[in-house]
Amino acid sequence: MIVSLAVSVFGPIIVAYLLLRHSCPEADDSPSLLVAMVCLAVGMGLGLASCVFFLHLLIPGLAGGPFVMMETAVLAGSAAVLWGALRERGKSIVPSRILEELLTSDVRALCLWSVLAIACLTFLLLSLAQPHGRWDAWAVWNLRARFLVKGGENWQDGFSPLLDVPHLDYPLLVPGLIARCWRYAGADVTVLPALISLLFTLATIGLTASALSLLRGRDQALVACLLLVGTPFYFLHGTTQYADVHLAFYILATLVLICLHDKGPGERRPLMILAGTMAGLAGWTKNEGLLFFVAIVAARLVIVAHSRGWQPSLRTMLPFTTGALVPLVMIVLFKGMLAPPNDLVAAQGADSTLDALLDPSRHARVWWALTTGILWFGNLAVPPTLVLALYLYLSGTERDLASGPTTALLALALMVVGYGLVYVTTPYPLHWHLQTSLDRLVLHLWPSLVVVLLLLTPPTEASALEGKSA
Amino acid sequence: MGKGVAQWLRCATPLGQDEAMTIVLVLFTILSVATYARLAIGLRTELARVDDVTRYERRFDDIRDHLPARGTVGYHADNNASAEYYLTQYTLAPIIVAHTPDHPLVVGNYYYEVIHPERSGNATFRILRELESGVVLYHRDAT
Repeated sequence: MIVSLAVSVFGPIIVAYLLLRHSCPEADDSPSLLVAMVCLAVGMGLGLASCVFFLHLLIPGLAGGPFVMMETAVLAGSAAVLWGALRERGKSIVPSRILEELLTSDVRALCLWSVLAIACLTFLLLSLAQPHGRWDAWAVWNLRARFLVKGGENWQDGFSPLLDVPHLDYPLLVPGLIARCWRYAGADVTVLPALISLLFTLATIGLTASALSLLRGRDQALVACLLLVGTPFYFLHGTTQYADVHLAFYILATLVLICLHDKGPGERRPLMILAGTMAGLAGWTKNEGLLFFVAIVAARLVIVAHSRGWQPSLRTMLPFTTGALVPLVMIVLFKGMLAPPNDLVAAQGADSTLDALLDPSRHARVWWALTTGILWFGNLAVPPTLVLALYLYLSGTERDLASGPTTALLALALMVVGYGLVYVTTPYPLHWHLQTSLDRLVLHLWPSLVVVLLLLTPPTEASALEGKSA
Repeated sequence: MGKGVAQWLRCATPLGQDEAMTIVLVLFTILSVATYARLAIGLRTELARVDDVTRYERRFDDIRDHLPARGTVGYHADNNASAEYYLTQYTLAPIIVAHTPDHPLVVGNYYYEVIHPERSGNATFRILRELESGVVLYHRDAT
């Protein structure tokens, strides 16, 4: 069972990594680039594996069929072909300097490694203490996964109107992924969703480190990682087995890829394609991811149009849209065929929505809650935002922002506005709605916010990309 | 003004900018490690016992064999809390647990007190299996 589980989780990641390494035109020896590729491969591999699993369910007769055997064969074949192609091009699978770079130590690196060690240990203990996760895990995500894997040809029972459970309209990245791995294992291994969440959390931290290292410098990378790992609410959230850390990863991955696209030299079309895939997978994770998809497309169009005009702006979105195609098709199929109307939308009436929008007291409560939610994120005695603000003050910020960070900032701002308006118009009691979801919504944006704000600081040393282009 | 404060902060620090930031990060690390350690130590009692959801699932172990592999069953409970219903649905998936007793097979879930469903219209509820855990399986007979 352990081998099957390992194949189910790491198979798609390895294939995605080989594909990324194969399509990356950069020189091979940057450890930051390797870490970025491994982390992106986690999201890409597991996200697309979830899409494939959903697609196979839709094909009549295949739902109860030999999916595991077929997929393993395809994964093994793809890995062999890509490995062969890499060897032919003289590329190594792993850059040679990676260990040397990772083991470099100073006080800040020691801080990071010590927090990471205790954070991982606490994560594992908490996962063992609550192997089924928290409320939404068994009411929403894992329940859906059980229907997908145990339902056989009747897997669509998981969307029956007879079920009186919440959020039946939420997309299927997480349930599909869990169901797929359970199918490999032949049993619903309870701790698996938490381990997948841990993988996404670590991938987020790795991507944060590598992106900042590539775009700014090692100093910013260390500070950002320390802030993420050092915030227990963020790091341990995966133990709830909700889909929020997955969404946070896809939002960050999209923004980082756009920043890398805008920063580096040469042809970087594959980065925009991959950014589109990540944004699409965000939409395939949660409805909030769909809001992000709209926000990032709008932000990108506006920022590029501002500097280069509307036509080039639309042209630059072509690879992005191409990359998003697979997840978008899944979303359309799911929403069109299975999902009931969203509870927030279904309960809205034109009059009550307008009344809520025109109610200044609701606005005041929501925007105040959002502001404090962001500033005090993490529930620590010393909020991580304070440390971040101090770093920004001490290091100063750059005046001329590149288009990548500007796009990212605008997208994040649009997300905050979008979240705010959802709260203002919510048909549920406002206090309850804020109390039960606000911290998780801030969590979606938290890694991206840390990275984007640190991108505003001047480079502390020659970043990997600058070093390369020099 | 912000720029002035930043400049003042930079000048007012007796240490170099780099050292000052390192001290802040070390303090943040200590705070985080302490928080994680407190959380981990607090888990001792939870780790020593079976978690709530697993215990909840075990209550239904002895009626699984009497339920169909798939399909829909009704639901009746002494407590109308959502959590009880969600957990029952989670436990019995892929069977659909409809939140009403109007189905031929009905799962009774009684956490505090067994309150059998009353006759509904021209239907009566016959007990097929009653467990000590407070779980009862009924057949709804239409007369």
